[in-house]
Amino acid sequence: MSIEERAREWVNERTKLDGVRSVLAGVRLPVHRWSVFSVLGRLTLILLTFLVSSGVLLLLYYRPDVAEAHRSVAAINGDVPFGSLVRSIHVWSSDLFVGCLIAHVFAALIQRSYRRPRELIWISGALLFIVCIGLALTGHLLPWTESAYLSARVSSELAGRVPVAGHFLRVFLRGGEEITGTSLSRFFGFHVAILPAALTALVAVHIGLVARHGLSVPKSLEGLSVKSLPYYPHLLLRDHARATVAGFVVLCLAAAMPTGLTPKADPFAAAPAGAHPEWYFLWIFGLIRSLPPRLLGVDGDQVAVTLLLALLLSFILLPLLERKGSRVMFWIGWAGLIAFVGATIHGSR
Amino acid sequence: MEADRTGLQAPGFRLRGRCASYGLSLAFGLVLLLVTQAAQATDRCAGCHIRLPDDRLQKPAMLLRESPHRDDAIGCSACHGGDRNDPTIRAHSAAGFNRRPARADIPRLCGSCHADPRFIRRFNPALQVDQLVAYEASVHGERFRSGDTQAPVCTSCHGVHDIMGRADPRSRVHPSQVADTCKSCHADPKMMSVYKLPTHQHASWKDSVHGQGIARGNLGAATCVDCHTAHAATPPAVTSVARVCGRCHADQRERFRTSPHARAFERLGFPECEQCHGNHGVARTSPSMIGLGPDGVCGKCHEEGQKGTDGVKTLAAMIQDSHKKAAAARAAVQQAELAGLPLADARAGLEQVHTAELRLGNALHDFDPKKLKVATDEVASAAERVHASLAQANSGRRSYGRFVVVVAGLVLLHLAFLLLRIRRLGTSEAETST
Repeated sequence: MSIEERAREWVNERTKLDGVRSVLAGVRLPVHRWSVFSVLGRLTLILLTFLVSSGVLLLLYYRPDVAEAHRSVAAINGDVPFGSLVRSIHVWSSDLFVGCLIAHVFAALIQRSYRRPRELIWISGALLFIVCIGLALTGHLLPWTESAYLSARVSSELAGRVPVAGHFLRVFLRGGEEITGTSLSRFFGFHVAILPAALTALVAVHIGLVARHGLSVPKSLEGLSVKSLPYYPHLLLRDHARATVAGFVVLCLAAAMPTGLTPKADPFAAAPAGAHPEWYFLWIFGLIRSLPPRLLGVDGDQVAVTLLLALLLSFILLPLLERKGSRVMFWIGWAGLIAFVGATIHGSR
Repeated sequence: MEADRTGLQAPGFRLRGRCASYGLSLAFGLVLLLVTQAAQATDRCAGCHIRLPDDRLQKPAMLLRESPHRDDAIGCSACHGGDRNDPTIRAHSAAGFNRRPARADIPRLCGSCHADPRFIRRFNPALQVDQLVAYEASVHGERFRSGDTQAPVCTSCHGVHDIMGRADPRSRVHPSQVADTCKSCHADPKMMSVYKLPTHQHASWKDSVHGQGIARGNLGAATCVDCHTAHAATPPAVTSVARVCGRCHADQRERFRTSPHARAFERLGFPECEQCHGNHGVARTSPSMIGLGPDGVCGKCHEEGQKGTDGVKTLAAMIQDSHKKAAAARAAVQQAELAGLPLADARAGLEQVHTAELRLGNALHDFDPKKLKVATDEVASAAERVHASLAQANSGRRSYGRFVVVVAGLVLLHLAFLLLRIRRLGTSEAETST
């Protein structure tokens, strides 16, 4: 028996990992010319592990207090060995994570992966998307910089424009009427505890359902012969290689373009010139800017927020809204992607 | 009943045990009552006045609760007389009771304790006992003796029933509060017009570097009493202004005394520090103060083309140059902070730059370019050390690149291993299904 086989037998006798291996080997994923898009979901998960690992390391030094937050981040950047690198990894991972997430959503939308019986996979994924965006939003405030403060103020102000529940939402998010130390503590709590817990639960549901139903194939390949490979070991090795490359790319980006630290927030100062939100919120910025101040007697911001709410609801309930056999969603998916890119460019100007 | 060997369970013992416990409880209660009664007995006035519905009578007792004068040995009767042990209104009828001591009697009344070292040492051995003597020698005391009813007495500054220790932030004579106490008279135009005194002092002081220091919580900054003294309040004479400033700014004063300006100022009758820095409105110093520019103080005496202007220009240039170097060091650290560089050494270096700048400000009072050069060199080398620290931090950042190269090697090896495994596996287990 070779050393490898002996080692495997030793480990298996004590952990019964063979059982897990056989389960994973039983999971077969389709391999076709469009299956490259199915990698996006797994890549998002890989980037999430980078986020969590780097986030835990940052948690050792970060202090969620108005007087200390900015200083602790400056200390992570300046005084902690490799602190700047870990922080840059966290920031780059979050940008790439959101990018992969958006690409994954559009890929699933265009391929209509939510078709029966996979509706709940889509709904759990939509909820996951909202939780991830919440994580990005709450994490952005934590360094307590000028741009972070402004971003939190604008986003919570937008939440306050929601009809009926707006005031409650704004006060709930801010922990009061204004963005203060209470808001920072609240955002911190959401970012490190509440939203990660929701994320874990939803990821478990989402992946569990995918494992049960298997990945969907595009409508054009339904009824045709499609090759499939067991997840273990074939696709696991490939995912391992992708994770290695992704990790290395993130490391290179973090080392070559480290994340700086803009000045500490001053609640009484005017908004800095040229301030704009994170790139994944630019499309909202663009949407609001493209609407007039008042539309049919209603405040433009409120119209925008109502539209966004309608969009969000449609996004979550999409599988239930689509008529059977219709290809409308295919075209809506493409139109949505183009609109997203266009609104983002418009918002960045 | 069978006798219990221990006796503890015997009925006789149970009865005796109960009696003993009742007796102990009663005794304890009596002791407690006596103690509380004794406590009340030493504070009869306040104990009664606090319960009165009339705010005018209740408020003094409420205020006294927070004051050091609430001490049993002092209390209300120290000033108002009466019988301190009588809990009834008859205490007011006792000999010596004074409902409202006259204003004219206040200094002597307060001095009866505060000028008695044997009395004061029972409460605070470190407390001064010369306040009355100092007051009587002051302008306030002189005015008071001349019958001026506006002249302040002890209660004017310290309060009446709400007198607090000087170290208590609630005290009217705490460093953070004393300027406002003086202001209550000295910023009143109607009151000061009688004495033909200006009223801008408090406003000037508040905007000055001293006033701003107090506002920021630096209790070491100068307030009215630091220059004018507290009880012996007198404006310092022209010749003694420098001595007053020199109590805190000793280095600057010593250097000035040996500088060429000292003799000139003496000859011209100029107050030393005040001539350039003002008195109440002492502004924060800046490099632009040196020179013949619009903000330069040198222009008060030195005109362009006159003897001495070359020296002014030389000193001004040296100061400006040092200021630029220090500012450049600060800007570099700020940039580095935004870029996320390690800054521990650079920040320590900035502290040294700040210290060197303070020494530069002191050295300027020599008005000697050779002596100033020592200080400007110190600022320059401190700034250079900051830049060197930042350069080192940058090179440390470059070590990330070396780290990435090492990781790249490991990543390539690992990928090669994975690709070999994937190739070996091939797609032999691929299945086709519909």
